[in-house]
Amino acid sequence: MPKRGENKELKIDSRLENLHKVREFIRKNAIKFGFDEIEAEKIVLAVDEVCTNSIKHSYRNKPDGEIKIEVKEEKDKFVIIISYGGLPFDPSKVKIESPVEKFKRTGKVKRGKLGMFIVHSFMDDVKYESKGDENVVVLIKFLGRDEKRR
Amino acid sequence: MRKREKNFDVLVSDKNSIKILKLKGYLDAYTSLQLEQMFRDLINSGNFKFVVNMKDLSYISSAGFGVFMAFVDETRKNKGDIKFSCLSEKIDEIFDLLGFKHIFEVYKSDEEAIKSFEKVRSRDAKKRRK
Repeated sequence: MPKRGENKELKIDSRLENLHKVREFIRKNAIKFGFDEIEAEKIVLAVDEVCTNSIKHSYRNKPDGEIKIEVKEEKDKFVIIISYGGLPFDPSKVKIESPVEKFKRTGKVKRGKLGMFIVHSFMDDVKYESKGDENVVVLIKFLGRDEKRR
Repeated sequence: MRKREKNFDVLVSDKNSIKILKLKGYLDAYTSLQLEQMFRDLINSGNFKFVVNMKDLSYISSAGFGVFMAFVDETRKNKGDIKFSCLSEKIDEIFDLLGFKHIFEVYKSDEEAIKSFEKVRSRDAKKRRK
């Protein structure tokens, strides 16, 4: 049985070439927690998208920012807390729409906003907080919930 | 031992005026910049038919999908398309979950993807003869 209650942390500089380090960290912990490959991939994708957005939009691709990724494990609950500085992120301004719905509605394929759609579709809960100058995104995934949906 | 992700590489080949792009490694916000430039160059030099082979692709994020989404309408306007082949089980599942199979054509092999372009071409030729 995986140990519960352990906290793990990773810090990276705000560079896109560091994203693979975040993915390896999350994948390793998600698999160890008990998620299967597909569920772990969804969590990895969601975390990647949040970190990518923080680098591109909050840090505006400046490489001297910091992103902290913490993993907290509580019973069947896998929590990832992503904290970063830079420009504040206002989630209320983001419109979340499936790429297929957008395609059906407009007949056109356009990129953009897919990252946020991935985050909200693949996680069970997404919370946005701000602590002083920090943006904090909390992603939650419950073990076994996707299997029940399948 | 879990395989570590390798970086990213593209091998380009030609088959009947179709460009076959074999992707290797991971496609994220960092490596997709390289693919984006490659697509831009190929389209600027008049290529509109693409088969993207994903057999050796270990990971794709929204930035990677974004490259195909940015160019697909332009290829279709020019009687071409971007089609996909040889998806790994994991990436196939992601395509399904995001509904991309409603937007893009996905084939089991390069040959099937290439044939599907030929079908369109022969249909167009028939139309012209009528």
